[in-house]
Amino acid sequence: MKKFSYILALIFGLTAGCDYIDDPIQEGGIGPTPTDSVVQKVLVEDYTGHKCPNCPDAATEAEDLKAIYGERIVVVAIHAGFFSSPSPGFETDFRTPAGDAMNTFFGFAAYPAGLVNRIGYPSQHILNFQAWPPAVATALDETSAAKIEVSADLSGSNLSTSVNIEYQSQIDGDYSLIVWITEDGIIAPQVYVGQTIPDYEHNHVLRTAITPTWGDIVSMGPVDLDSTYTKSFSSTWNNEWNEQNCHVVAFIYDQQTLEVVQVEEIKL
Amino acid sequence: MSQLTKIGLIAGLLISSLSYSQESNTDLGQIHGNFQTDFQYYRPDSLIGAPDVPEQFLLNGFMNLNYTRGNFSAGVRFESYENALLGFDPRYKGTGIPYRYATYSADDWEITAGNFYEQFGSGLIFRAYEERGLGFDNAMDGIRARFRPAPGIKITGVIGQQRFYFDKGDGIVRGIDADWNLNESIESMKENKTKIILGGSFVSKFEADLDPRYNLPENVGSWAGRATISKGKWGLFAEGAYKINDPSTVNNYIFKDGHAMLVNLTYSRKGLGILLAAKRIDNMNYRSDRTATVNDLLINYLPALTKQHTYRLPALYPYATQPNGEMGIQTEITYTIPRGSRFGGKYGTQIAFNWSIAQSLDLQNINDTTDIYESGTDGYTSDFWSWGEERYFQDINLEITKKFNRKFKLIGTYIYEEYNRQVIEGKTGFVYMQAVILEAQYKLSRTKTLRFEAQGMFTDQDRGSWAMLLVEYSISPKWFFAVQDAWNYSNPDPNRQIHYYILSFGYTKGGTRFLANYGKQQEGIFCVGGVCRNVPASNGLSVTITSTF
Repeated sequence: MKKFSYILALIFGLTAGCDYIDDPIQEGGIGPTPTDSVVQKVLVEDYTGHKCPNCPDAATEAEDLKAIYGERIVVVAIHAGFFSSPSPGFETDFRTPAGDAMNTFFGFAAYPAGLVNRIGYPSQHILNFQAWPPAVATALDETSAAKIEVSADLSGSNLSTSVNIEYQSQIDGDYSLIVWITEDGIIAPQVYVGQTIPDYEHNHVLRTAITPTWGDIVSMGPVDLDSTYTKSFSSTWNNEWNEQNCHVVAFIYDQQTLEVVQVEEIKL
Repeated sequence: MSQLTKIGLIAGLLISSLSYSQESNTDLGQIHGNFQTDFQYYRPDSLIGAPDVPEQFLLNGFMNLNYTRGNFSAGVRFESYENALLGFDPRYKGTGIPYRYATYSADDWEITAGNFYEQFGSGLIFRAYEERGLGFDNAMDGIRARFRPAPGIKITGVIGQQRFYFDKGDGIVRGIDADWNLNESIESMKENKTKIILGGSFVSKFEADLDPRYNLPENVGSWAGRATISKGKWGLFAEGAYKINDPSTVNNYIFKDGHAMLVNLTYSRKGLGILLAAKRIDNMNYRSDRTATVNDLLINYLPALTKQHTYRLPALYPYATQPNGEMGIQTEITYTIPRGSRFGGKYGTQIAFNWSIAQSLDLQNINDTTDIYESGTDGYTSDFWSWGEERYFQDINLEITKKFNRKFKLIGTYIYEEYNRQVIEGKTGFVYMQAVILEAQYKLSRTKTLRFEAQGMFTDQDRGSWAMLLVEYSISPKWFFAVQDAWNYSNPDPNRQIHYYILSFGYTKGGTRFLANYGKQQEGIFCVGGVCRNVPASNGLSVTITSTF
C-alpha cells in the first residue's frame, strides 16, 4: 500500500504539466513594427475553390491577418483542386495553369489550406487556416535577406513589369523570382457551409503567372551585396481583368528549401 | 527523414552484427516479420468522379522486421509510397524507415527506446496506434518504461513526439499510467469472485505558443480514472477523463476544459449476450499540434460506439466520432434460439440486435454577449445529463443467422440508419437509409464453398438507392474468385446511375496471399472505430500481396 501511495503522489505531482489560462486574449497583440528600412514581408497562399464550403473562413482569416499586420502580409488566393472546377451555377473559372501545377506539386488534398512563405516543405508546409497566425508571426520575425522593388506599366494590352532585387545579407544558394497578377473584388457565387452566396466578393485571386510556374533564376551561388539584380517581363494583358483592382505580386525563393525569402506587392 | 533512415540502418546493422557475432552460440535469436504491398493501376473515369492520376500506377508497401533474442528485441519498419494510393494523404511520399525500436525487458521492468505504440485505459487521453487501412499512424518516438513494483501493479511511463507522415510533430507528449489489479495484489481478495482492476493516468503535451492573438497554454494536462469490475456473468467498465483548457483549430480556439465519460455494462450466459454502453464527450479533441485537423497528431482516441457494417452498401454510411462533443448509447443483444425448439431447428438460430444513437450536447451561451464557440472565450456550458437536439447518427439493425443443414446457411440483415452528413462529412444534408441484405453460404464439398450476397440500400437522399449482387467461390485453402456489381439505380443524376462492378481473384500459399480486384470503386468513407478517411472513386486494377514470415 505504501508503494501505491508513492504512485499516486507521482501521478498527481505531474500536474505541473498544466498551464491554466485566465486571460486568453493578448494585450496589444502585435509586436513592434520594425524600424529597419527593409521590412520582412510574408506571403500567405490560400488554396481555395468556389465550391469549397469552409473556404470563406480562410479568406476571413487572411483579411484578419492583413488587419493586424497591414502591408507586411501579402495574400494570394489560388483557386485549384477539387472545389475549383466550374459547374452549373459556378461558371467562373478561377483556375490557372500555374495554380493547378502548384496544387499538385505541394500535395493539397483538403481545402481550405495554405502555405506561409512556403515554409516546411516537403512534409509540414500545408497549413490549415487556423495555423496561419502563429506561422505568420514566426515568419515575420525573420531578418529580411532581400529588398524587392516592383514597377509595372500597362499600355494597351501589353504589361511591362520590372523587378529589382537587392540582397541584404550574404546568402548563398539558388534563388528564383516569381511574378503574379492578382485581382480583387470579383463578384461571383461561393459556397459557404451548406449555402451558396450569389454575390460573394473574391479577393486576391491569382489571375496569371508572368514568370514560369517555378520562376526565373535571379542568382546562383554567393550573392553580390553591392549590385541590384533586375528582371524585366513583357506579358499580354487579359481585358477581362479589371486593372483598377489588380496587383502585381513578386517574390523570391530558395530553390533548395522552396522557402520564400521576400515578397512585395504593388497596385497596378 | 534522413536522420530516421540513419537510425534505422544502425538498428539494422546492430541486428545483423548481433546475429553474426553469436555464431558460436546455438541461440542466434529469431527474425520475424510481415510484408504487404498494395498496387493500383488507375483508368481515367470522369463519370464516376475518379480523380486524374498522372502517375497511372500508385503503390503503398511496408515490411516489418522484428528480431528477438532472450530479453532483447528490436525491429524496423520500412515503408514505401510511390506515390500514395488515392485516398491516402499525399504527405505519405517516398520511401523510408519511419519506425524502429529496441526493447529490453527484465523480471519486473521493460525499457523501449525508439518508436512504440501504447494505450492508457480505453484511450480517452492517450492512444498511440496504427490503422494501416486508414493511413493512420501516430506512433510515439521516444522512451517508454514499464515497471511492476508489486504483484498486480503495473506502471507505464512514456515520453516522446508523435509520428507525422515521414516526419514528427513538434509537440512533446508525456504520460504515466498505473494499473492495479486488486485480486492479484491484495491477499484477502485472491479468492474473491468479484474481480476489480483500477487504473489511473496522467498525460500532458507541450507545444510552444507563437500565436499573435491569444495567450495559449503551452502545457495541456489531462487525467483519466477507470475501473473494471466483473462478477460471474456481469461485467462493468467505466472510465472518466478530464482535460484542461486546450484551444485548438478543431474547437475554434475556445478555452473551455474537456470531459469524457465511457461506461460499458455486459451480461453473458450461454446463448445470451447483452451489452449496454454509454458515452459523453465534451471538448475532447487532443492533439500534439493545436492546429492539426482530420487524423493528424491525435493524442487520444474516442470510440464510436456504433456497429461497423462490413457489407459494401451499408458501409457507405459509417459514423465518425465527433471530438468536440456528443452523447451516445449503444445496445447489443445476441440471442441463440436453442436447438431443437420450433425456431431453433437442428442447429439453433442466432439473432443479433443492435441499436446505437449519437446526438449533440446541449450547448448554452456562457453569457448574453458571447456566442457559442466564440474564439478566445470559454465557448459554452452544457449540462452533463441533457441531450442536445441535433441528431448525429442512429442505427437500428437486426441480423438473423440460420444454419439449415451441414451445407447450407443463411444470414438475413435489416438496417435502418439516420446519418447527419453535415456533421460527419461536412457536406450538406441528412440521409435516412434502410438496407436489406441476404447472404447465403453453400458448401459444395469439404473445400469448396459458394457464397452469395444480395444487398439493397434504399434512400431518397444523397446518391439515392443502390442494389448489389455478389457471388463468391472459394476452394480452401488456396483459391478465391468473386464477382460483384453495385448499381446506383436511383441516382438523381440519370448519367450517374452507374454499375460499379468488381471482379476479384485470390490465391494463398503458405504465409503469402495474393489478391487482385478489377473494376470500379464508388466514392465513400472508410472508417475504423470512428476514425475515417475519404476514399475517392476509382476505376482500374488493384493488386495486394501480403506475406508473413
